[in-house]
Amino acid sequence: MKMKEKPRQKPLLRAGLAVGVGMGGFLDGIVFHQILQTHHMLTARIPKDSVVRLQQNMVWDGFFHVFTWIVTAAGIGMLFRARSVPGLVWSSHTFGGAILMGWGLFNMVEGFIDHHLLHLHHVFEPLGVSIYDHIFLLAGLALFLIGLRIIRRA
Amino acid sequence: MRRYAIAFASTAMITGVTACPVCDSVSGEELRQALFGEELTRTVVEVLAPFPVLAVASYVICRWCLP
Repeated sequence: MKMKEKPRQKPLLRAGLAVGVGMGGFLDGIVFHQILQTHHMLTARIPKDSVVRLQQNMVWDGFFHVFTWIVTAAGIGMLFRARSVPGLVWSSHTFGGAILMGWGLFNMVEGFIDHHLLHLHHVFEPLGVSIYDHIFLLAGLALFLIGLRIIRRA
Repeated sequence: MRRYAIAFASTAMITGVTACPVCDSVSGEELRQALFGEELTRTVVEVLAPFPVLAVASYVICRWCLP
């Protein structure tokens, strides 16, 4: 008698988490570093008060984006490999929830390490550690929990 | 696959080195001095610090916290 295959979701969750972390990183970089320019990677240590210092910050922004690119590419690779996993349940809720969880995880980890622990930069640099940094962390927690809830309901 | 990755990385590196728009300028020289100072290693470690933490956190979440 043929055994019924257990439905699997882990490969999809793993891929979604990685894509979410990468997209969270890109969103931070695009919105805060480039469009609003409220901070750059090292503005708490190297204020952008000259062209060279701004360029320095941009180089470090670039290194940060290289790694967010690598994480996103790894997530796409995991998603591609997931197609051959037997018994995988392709659920947009699961994948979308995992992306939200990854995005939230990025905000919490990057926010805590860069904004509060190492003080490399803050969300709105002229204020230093401010309410915006706390909102950034809370937004991360909210995204994480919403993603988790979507996955559990799916 | 690996061959394509190596080709891509080599092209990116060559392009990055040769196309740097500030390399020959005065500000480019200042930038290089500022970037490659004593703090370089420490800065690299600090800028990239969230990524290993994210990798471990993702692993833990996938392994133990999700259905």
